[in-house]
Amino acid sequence: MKSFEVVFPERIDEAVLALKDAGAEGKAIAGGTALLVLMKNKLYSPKHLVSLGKIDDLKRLAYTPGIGLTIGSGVTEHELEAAPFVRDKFPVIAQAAHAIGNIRIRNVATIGGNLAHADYQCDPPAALIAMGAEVKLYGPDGERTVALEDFFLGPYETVLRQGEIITQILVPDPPQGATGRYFRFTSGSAADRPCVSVAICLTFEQGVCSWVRVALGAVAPTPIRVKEIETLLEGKVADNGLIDEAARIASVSCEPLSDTRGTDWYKREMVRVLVQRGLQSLINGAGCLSC
Amino acid sequence: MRIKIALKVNGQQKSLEVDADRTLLEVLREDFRYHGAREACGAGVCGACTVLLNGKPVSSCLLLAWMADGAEIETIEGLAQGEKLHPIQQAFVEEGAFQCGFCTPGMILAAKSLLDQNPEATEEQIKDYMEGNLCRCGSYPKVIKAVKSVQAKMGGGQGAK
Amino acid sequence: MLDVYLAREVEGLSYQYIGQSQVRSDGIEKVTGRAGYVYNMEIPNMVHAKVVRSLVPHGRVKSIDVSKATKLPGVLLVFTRDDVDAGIYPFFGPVVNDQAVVAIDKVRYVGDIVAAVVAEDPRIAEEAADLVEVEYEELPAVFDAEEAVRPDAPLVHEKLNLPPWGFSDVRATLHPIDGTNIVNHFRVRRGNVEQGFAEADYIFQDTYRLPAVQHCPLEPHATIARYESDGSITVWSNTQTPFLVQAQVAQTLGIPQSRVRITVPFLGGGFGAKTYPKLEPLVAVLALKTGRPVKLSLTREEEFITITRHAATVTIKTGVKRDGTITARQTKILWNTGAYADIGPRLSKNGGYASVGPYRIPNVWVDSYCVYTNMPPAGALRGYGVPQVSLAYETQMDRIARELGFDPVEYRLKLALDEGDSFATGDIIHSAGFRELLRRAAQAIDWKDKSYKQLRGSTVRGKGIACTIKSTITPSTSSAEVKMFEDGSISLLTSTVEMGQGSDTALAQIAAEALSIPVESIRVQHPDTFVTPYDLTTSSSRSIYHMGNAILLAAEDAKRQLRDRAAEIMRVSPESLEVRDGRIVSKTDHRYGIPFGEAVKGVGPSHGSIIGHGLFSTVGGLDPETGQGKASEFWFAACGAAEVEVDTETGKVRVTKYYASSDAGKAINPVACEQQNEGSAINGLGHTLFEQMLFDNGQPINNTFLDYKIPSFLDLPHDLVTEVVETPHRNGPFGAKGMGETAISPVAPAIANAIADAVGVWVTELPVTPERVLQALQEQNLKHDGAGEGNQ
Repeated sequence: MKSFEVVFPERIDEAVLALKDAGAEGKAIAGGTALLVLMKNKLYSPKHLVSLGKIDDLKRLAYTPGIGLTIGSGVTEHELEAAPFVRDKFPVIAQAAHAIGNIRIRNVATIGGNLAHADYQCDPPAALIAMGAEVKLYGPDGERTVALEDFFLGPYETVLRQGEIITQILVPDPPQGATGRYFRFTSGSAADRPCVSVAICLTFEQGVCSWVRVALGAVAPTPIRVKEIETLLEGKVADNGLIDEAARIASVSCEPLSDTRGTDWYKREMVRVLVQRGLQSLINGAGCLSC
Repeated sequence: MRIKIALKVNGQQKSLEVDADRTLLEVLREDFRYHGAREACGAGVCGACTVLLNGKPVSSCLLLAWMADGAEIETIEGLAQGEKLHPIQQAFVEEGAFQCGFCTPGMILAAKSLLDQNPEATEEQIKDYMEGNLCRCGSYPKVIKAVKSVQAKMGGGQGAK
Repeated sequence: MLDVYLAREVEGLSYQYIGQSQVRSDGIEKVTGRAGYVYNMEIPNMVHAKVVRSLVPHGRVKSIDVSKATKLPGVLLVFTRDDVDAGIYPFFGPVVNDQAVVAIDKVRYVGDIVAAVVAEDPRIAEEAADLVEVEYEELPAVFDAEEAVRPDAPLVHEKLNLPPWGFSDVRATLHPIDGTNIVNHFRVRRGNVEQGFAEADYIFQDTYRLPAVQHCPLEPHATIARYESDGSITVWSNTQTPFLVQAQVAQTLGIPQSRVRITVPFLGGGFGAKTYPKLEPLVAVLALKTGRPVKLSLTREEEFITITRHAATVTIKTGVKRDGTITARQTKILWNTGAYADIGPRLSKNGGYASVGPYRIPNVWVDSYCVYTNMPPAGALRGYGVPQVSLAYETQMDRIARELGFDPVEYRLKLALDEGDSFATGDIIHSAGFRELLRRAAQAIDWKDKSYKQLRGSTVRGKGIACTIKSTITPSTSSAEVKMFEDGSISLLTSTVEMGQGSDTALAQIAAEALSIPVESIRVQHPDTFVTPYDLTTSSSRSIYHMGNAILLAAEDAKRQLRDRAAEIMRVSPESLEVRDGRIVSKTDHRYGIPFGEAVKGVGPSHGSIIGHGLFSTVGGLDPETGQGKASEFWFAACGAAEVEVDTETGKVRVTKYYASSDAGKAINPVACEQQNEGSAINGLGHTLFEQMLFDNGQPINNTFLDYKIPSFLDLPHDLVTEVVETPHRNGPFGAKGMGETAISPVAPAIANAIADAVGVWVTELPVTPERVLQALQEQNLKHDGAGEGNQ
């Protein structure tokens, strides 16, 4: 690891100022679990680190009925997976947070760091996108809010500008009676990163889906929301034929990236299988989920 | 750049000045001379460098020392009381839950943290919690046995049944 | 003498210390984190080395600029080929001296060592290593063994540097082919294969491919070397072969072996990766040049490219009669040994004859080629070539059985080698209970029960069995010393390396049984070539048999001396005395005797100690042209049985149950045998289902634990059952042979056969990724559709 300077601001605006001063040589660091792997291997060697660890404002995790979930960017993955109101009201998010790395990583890694790192094989982004999350960004030009589905530009690339940090993730309350689940398929060790993941949330009453959200992770260069399926399913009787059609659409519409965990052909196939099984299990309580 | 930090390691409080780029693992090994935590993958995957930070397992190879400023740290060296082994250590010896021993301190600390939080953990929960502690010798079945035997002795968990 | 112990068992006499599970003696050190590993060692005044590695797969080193690195404060030495003077012999290797401490003319793989930096601090060494500038003239490279044997392939080595010494078994059968990348062409020629194939009713021919995988010991390679003021050198290394390293360091530095001290503490795993010299020659040279103790520890990324398991292409052709009799078998194996031969020449021999399998086959033809490529060197890994060839012969065995309408287990039982049968090399089989193993394996997974095939959604279940044969390194030597002190306590001196297998405990049990004293009163000394006697290697699952026998001989020698001294004290004849429960007693009256310690003291001033010495050596060797002779002192037999679930929509294979068994001859420490079987099975599951090293034009792309996954808790089969079968060996200590790596080889074919049982897809390539299975399923469906059977 190359040597660097580090500062410990206690307020968000101080952090942003420090980042602005550091310019292109600066980098914000929270848990550091992703950043340090790069730094130790000298794949990335920032000269100035701005530690976000002492900013208490970033560490709040709260749920307000009718408004939703407010996740400070400094909340750890483990805090997220363990919080009773997350598990209860936003199981998709708790499941995705639990899927990351291992308990040691989750004890340290933060959700903000996870999103800013923009690793396309990471679990939470797809789940948060399916839940309609927005991210609050704060930078030298002030604050702005971006829908998470518009946040990612490519692997390790986001809309974050120079000196800008994620301060909060806002997840609106899902409609009454919504259910959801994060489905994760690994092609190697069960402890590996996913080959394909699918987050699905929906409301379902008397055979009809009134609200559907589907997002795919580890497939394309960024997590993707599959709006075509949502339009297809919403307001219709979700029979087997429609579910199969939704799975087919997801499979053809995604543009998979071949990687060591699966070729584009295979990822397309797995998107179809996972979406089909996922919808079946949420709608009919059936389907094999052990993938 | 050097940073002043305070660490309480195995009950012993110490103030020191560390280079910003030194990991907690390096400081524990080089400044505290605790060699039970080891760097085997350098990427937070294998768990050989596991220590407990305020009771929670972390990868000390992937944590800069200043990130642990003010924290209480427990390493494998802090577990036994003199020559008296901690019950989990004792169970590992008795059940043969180790082979080469390189991963063993990390395994034991992970097991301790699990049992502290969830003494009744089921076999599935043991596997799920400890998935990030790798053992190339394949001591997993015996580690599970050891954890269950501790549970049985504590009077809880699946092992008691 | 050895038969005496065996006879005791036959007569139903029970043992005191062996054969019952003993809590391992290394437990407390390991659970407290106190156990010493080279990785953890620090020597006063120690400095740190970091190597500079090639970034190109094949190239001539044009220039090396060390000026920037040398100027960095804290740097003591930047060592390159320009520093190799007359006092240093830079080349090394267990068979061919083809590797150099730093590149002399060419680099031959991405990761080849070009230079080494020594600095006061490891972080400075690392920084300085980055400042060394190397210029290459890139050469055409070859990565695949199948391509490397083509006539127009680039040559990795222009000529072979064969040292005048070497292992007799390897040298006798070594056939390099000049002007090619083939460093060894091993052959077996037995009977008449042409005639055999002509007599056959069916010919089966299949080709199997396995990728390189890595050992992944959690403790990477590490070495410390220190020059002593008397001109000797001390090397602390995590090696499995201290004496081979000693000989190599002596050669490198041009000093007598008596001045090279190799000491080996606990190893954090070996699995074959730590056999033969690796970092030691370089670190010894760095210690010589700096005059300081130098330490070099590898990172995980470096560990991956230091040594690997051979990628292999195995073609197997088998002639079968309608009744199932095998008339002939021909195999051709290409072993990708990478840039340096390491032990590939022997592995291609042992894997070569092993490719015939544990069956009665009269006509055999084996061509086994060890091939250089521009890949990381490949060497020994648990199973030693057998995992590669057993995938071929055991998967094809099931294919033959199924196509001929035989039950795969019954078919194996019909053809398996039995006591007294002749193996492909002409070795006569003894103490290898294939039939017993097969029967028990079938029982373990309820083989006869076919109801398991019922579909559940898209999931299909299947069962598979495989059995494998493996040799041990032959000829070889082990020696041991039993040192008794005047208080009656005992030190057992061997050069067996405790790398996790539990040898400290098992060897102490053997000594305890032989000396009739509790295991706890024996301390086992770890290898130190200045202190402990010679042993060839801790590998090949050989220690229990070879070192065990050496210990029995040493114990006999010690007991003889004890009796002599006791007789003098007791004024009786030595013949009237025997050893019992820590005492020398009269044969006729056990109450009459003296404790060990008193006997050690002897008459007059205390004699202080007794040293019993034991040396055990085996003989053997094969004919260089026919591969006939004695390949192995004994034969390991193993069986695996798998129950799998194949998800036909994803191709994912889940091993729901795995049963691993091996014939140990006699289990000295049953709990350690369980550990070895479990470890072999879990290791094998990784190799079968997901492990593979990936490269892009020779550049490693998954050499981290983030991307190369080894099995975790979550990858365990729901049910993992192991068993030890005991078919005593007539020359084994208490009938024991060994079993450390035996159970790994059946894993892949057992799973492959279970997949075929479930869905009819034959695995021909590892790892069995879901993508490969799904592809095969879809091709199968296309075929069926094409044939008008049209099922979905």
